[in-house]
Amino acid sequence: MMRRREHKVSYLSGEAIFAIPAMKPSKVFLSLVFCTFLMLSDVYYESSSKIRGYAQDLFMPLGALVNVPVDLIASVPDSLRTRSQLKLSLEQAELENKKLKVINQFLEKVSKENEELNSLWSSTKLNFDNYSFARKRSISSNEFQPILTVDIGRKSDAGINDVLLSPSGMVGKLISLGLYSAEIMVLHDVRSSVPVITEKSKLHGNVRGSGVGRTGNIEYIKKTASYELGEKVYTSGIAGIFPEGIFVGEITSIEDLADSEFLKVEVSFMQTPFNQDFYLIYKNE
Amino acid sequence: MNRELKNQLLIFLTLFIALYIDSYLFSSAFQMLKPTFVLLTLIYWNMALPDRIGIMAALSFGIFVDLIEGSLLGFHGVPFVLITYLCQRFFYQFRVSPLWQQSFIVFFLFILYKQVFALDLSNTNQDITNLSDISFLFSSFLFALFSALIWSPLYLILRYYRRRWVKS
Repeated sequence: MMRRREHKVSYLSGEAIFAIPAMKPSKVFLSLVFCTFLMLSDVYYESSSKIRGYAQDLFMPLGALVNVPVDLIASVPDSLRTRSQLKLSLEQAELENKKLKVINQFLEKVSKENEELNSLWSSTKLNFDNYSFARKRSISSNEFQPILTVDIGRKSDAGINDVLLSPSGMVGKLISLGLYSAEIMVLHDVRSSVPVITEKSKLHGNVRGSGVGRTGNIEYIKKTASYELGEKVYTSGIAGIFPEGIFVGEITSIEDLADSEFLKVEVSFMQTPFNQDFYLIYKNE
Repeated sequence: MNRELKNQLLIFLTLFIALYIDSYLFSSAFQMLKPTFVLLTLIYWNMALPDRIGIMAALSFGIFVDLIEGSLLGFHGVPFVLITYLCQRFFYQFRVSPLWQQSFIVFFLFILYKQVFALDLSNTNQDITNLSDISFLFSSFLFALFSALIWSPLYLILRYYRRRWVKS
């Protein structure tokens, strides 16, 4: 059965011309208008931030599926091994076990030291209830606005603007939240702006990201400011979004450009979201 | 099942598989350069069966990619819709070209597509990038090159899939 739109009739011969009609430009125009409307509502009212986290929850099975090929490839060598090879690997595992027992004896000593450190830790004002774990799921491939998606526990009380931390400092802040997922705007994002203070010169400023693999910039710094190269940069706590004293990066370049009224101060971020699997979410009070 | 519906489902299945590959996390260097498989698959179906896929599919998958990538909603929709339109408009010329010529066209389409990411739609930073930004140009070139290289095998796989499963 031929569909009505599948052919035209030739004016000369009156025969059917089987041609697929081109997409109507009006439809394309309407789609572009719709996309523009979506973008504008997102820019001005952040309309998508409320649904993004839940959309990530929906895509969670996709994230789980991603590991299937890796697990399958890892399981292939095991299934191809012979009985004698398995016996050999069992003997190696037993030897490894003996080694671990010896190491455990040393660990007892380390754990005592750890207890002391823990008591020191608990004497500070930090509240452990404010921390929760997060596991990396994916990072978007947009190099100027990279979004890190992390898995959070169902009972996690994380909220918007909470801070994501790694052992080497601040990673970013939480911008969208679902039941099991959260989206993080990392420091490298061009939209990210963090109030900071420098270690030695004690000067305030805002660090803005410039994209993955690029250094950040401290904005609007007067030419009279006396920054030092290699100086460490910490969050200043101004504006109340980020807690005070979290390591952000290190000053790697200071340039006094003739055509600019401000100094160009570049900050290298020590942490990158790519080489870390687990993070801490800090709930800022 | 109705054949039309079955064909549609089979086409959408490939697009969802492409979405799955796009959400795969690669190493830091390759993550920014990996081809957008959804767009490549969309180009293939627009070229092979333009009457089976339309603007709504381009728009919907653009929004799906926005949700996965965390970009502004509608941001990927614009290039997806425009590329879909171009492919549908010129599919007669495109599909009779040899594979290397198609790869060449894909290369230029993806270079242009990558430039969209440099647009500062939120007005956050006055100088995100420009054409003198060598590192961005280089990453755009590599991104387009990978996409062009992957086009030929993807084309052959999808053609086999279409001939085997998607009956007209």
